[in-house]
Amino acid sequence: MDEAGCAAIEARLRDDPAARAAVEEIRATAARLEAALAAEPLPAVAAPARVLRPSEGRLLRWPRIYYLAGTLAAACFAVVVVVHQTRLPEREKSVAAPVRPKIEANVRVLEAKAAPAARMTMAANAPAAGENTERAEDSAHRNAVNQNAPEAKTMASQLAAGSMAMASTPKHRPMGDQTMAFVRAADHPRAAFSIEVDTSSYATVRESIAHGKRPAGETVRIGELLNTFHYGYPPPSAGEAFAASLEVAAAPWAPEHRLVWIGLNARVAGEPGATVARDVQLQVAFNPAHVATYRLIADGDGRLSMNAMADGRDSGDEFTSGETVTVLYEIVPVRAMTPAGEAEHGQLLTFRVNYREPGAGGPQHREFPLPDRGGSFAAASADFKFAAAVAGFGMVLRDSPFKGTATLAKVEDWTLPGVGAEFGDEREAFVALVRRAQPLVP
Amino acid sequence: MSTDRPPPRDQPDEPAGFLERTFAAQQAPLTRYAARLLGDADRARDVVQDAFVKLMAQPAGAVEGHVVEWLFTVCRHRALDVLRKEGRMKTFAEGEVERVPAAGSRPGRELEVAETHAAVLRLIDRLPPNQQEVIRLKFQNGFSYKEISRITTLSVGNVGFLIHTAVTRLRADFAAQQP
Repeated sequence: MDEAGCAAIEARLRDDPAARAAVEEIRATAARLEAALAAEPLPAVAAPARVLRPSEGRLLRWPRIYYLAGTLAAACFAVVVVVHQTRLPEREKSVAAPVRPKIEANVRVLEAKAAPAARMTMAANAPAAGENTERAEDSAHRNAVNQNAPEAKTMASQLAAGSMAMASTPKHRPMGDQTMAFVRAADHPRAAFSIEVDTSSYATVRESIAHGKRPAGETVRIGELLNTFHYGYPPPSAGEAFAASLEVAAAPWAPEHRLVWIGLNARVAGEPGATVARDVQLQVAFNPAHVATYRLIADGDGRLSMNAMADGRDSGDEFTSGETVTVLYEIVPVRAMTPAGEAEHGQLLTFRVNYREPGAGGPQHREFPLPDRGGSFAAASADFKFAAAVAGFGMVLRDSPFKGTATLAKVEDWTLPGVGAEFGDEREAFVALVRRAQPLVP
Repeated sequence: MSTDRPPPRDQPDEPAGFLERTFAAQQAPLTRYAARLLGDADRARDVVQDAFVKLMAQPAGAVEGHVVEWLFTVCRHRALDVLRKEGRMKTFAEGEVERVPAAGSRPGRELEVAETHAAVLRLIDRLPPNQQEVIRLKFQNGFSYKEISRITTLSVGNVGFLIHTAVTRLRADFAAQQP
C-alpha cells in the first residue's frame, strides 16, 4: 500500500473508534495465533551427521556432485563437533569491555514527557529482599550472511572446504525474516529479555548499500542496528551498579501508538571488562489497564518466548564496566490519543532488573515504573528520535508490516535532531547511509 | 554527564557458516511445515533432507536474501510430488474450502478466560488444509503475502483471501468459546 493509502487508513482509524476497535481485534487475533503457533512443539530432527544418509528403504539417486559433497560432508561431520562460537565485534568504547548481546527485548517502554524533552533517568529504588531471579530466555548469536564469502562454486564446495563446523546442539534462534508480533498484555503481561546484544547486522547492511544493493531482509536485524549506536546515558548514582533511562513518546510511524525506550548502562569500573553486576535479568511488567498490545522492535532476531518465566536459575549474564543495552517497544495503548494529542495513559509498565553483585553477593533488584503522560514525538529527546529513526530504517528495509507511514525520507528527518558534532561521526555516517539507501527502496 | 563518543567501529568480516546455520535454524521448522503437508513426519524429514541437498548444489549467492523462502518452496514442491506419487494429492480451486468432517461436538464454553495455546491450535487444525497452510506460513514462519504467494503459487490476492477467511473464522470460533 502506498503512503497515501496508509495515511488515509490512519486518519480513518483516528476518527472512527469502531474501526479502530476492529483493527485492534484483528491485531489481537493475529498475536494470539502467533503465540500459539510459536508454542507448537518442533518435531524431532536428525542430527547433522545423519542428514545426508538415505532414509530407510529408499534408494536415492545421487548426481555425481552430490556424491562428492556427501563424502566430504561426512568426513567433516566425523570430526568432533564443537559448539560454533561466533566471534562478535568488540565495541570501541573508551572504557568498555566487548559487548556480547543477544537482542531479546520483548518490551521496551519509553515515555516522553509533554514538557521539553527530558528523558526520565531512573535512580535505583531501595533494594528489596532477595528474590528468585528469573532467567531470560537465551537468544541467538547470529552472524549476518557473509557477503564477501570466499570464492566457491557451490555451497557444497564451501562445506567441503572445511570452513564450517556444525553446532552440536544449536541454541541460537532461527534465522529468517522473523517479524516480531504484537502481544496482548492481558495474556502476557510480563516479558523478560537478555542483556546481551549483537551488533553485526549494521556492517552487513552498510556493505550491501555501499554496493548499491538493497540489504536482504534477513540480514536487517533491528535490535542489532539499534545497539550499534551510542546514546547519552547518564552515569549511575554513586554506589549503584547501573542506571536505567526510560522514555516514551508517540511512534513517528504510527502516532496512535506509543514508542517506549529502555536503556541500561553499567557504571564505569576501575578497568575495562570488569564485572559490575552478574546474573543480570531484565524484565518488564506491562499494565493491561493501559497497554492493549506490545511489540518488541527487534525484527529479524527470531521469535521470543513471551513467557520467559522464572525458573529459579541465575541467568549467567554479566554486566561489565561501561556496557549499555538499548531496547525499543511499540505499544498499542488501551486508550487512543485524543485529537489534541494529549492523553494521559497512566503507568504503562515497570522495568525490573534482577542481579547479583560481583563475588558472593546475594540477589538484588531495582524497579523503574514508567508513567505515560502522552508526550508527542516532537517533544522527545534527540537520542529518542535518532533511535526511532534507526528502528524505522530497519523496518523500511525489511518492508515490515508494522512500518506504518515510515519511509527512508522520513527516517532521515527523524535523525536530524540527534546528529551533530556532539554525537560523533557514527550518526552522520548513518544519515549518509539512509540517503544512499533511498534509491534502493521503491 | 560525560559520554565519550568513540570513533566508528571497524567491523570484521563476517565468518563463514551460512549453510550450517541455516540448517540448524530451519531444519525443524521446515520439517514441521512438511509434516503438515504430508501427514507423515518421516517423509517430512526426507523431504527436508532433499531440500538441503538441493541447497548445497546451488551456486553461492544464488539464494542470497531469500534462502528461507527458497527452502520452504522446495519443500512444498517436493511434498506435493510425494503426495502425487502416492495418490494422496488433493487440489483446491482458489478460494475453495474443503469440507472437513467434524471432529466431534463443538467445543463448549468450558475454556478458561485466559486462552490456552492448545485451544488455539485445535481451532487452527479445524481449518481447511489450504487455510491452515497459509496461516502457518504467515503467523508461524513469518512470511509476507508476496513470499507466501511465491511458495504456494497462489496469487497474492488469494493468499489474502485465505488468510482473511481463516482469521475471520478463528476470531468467531474463539469468541464462541469464551464464557
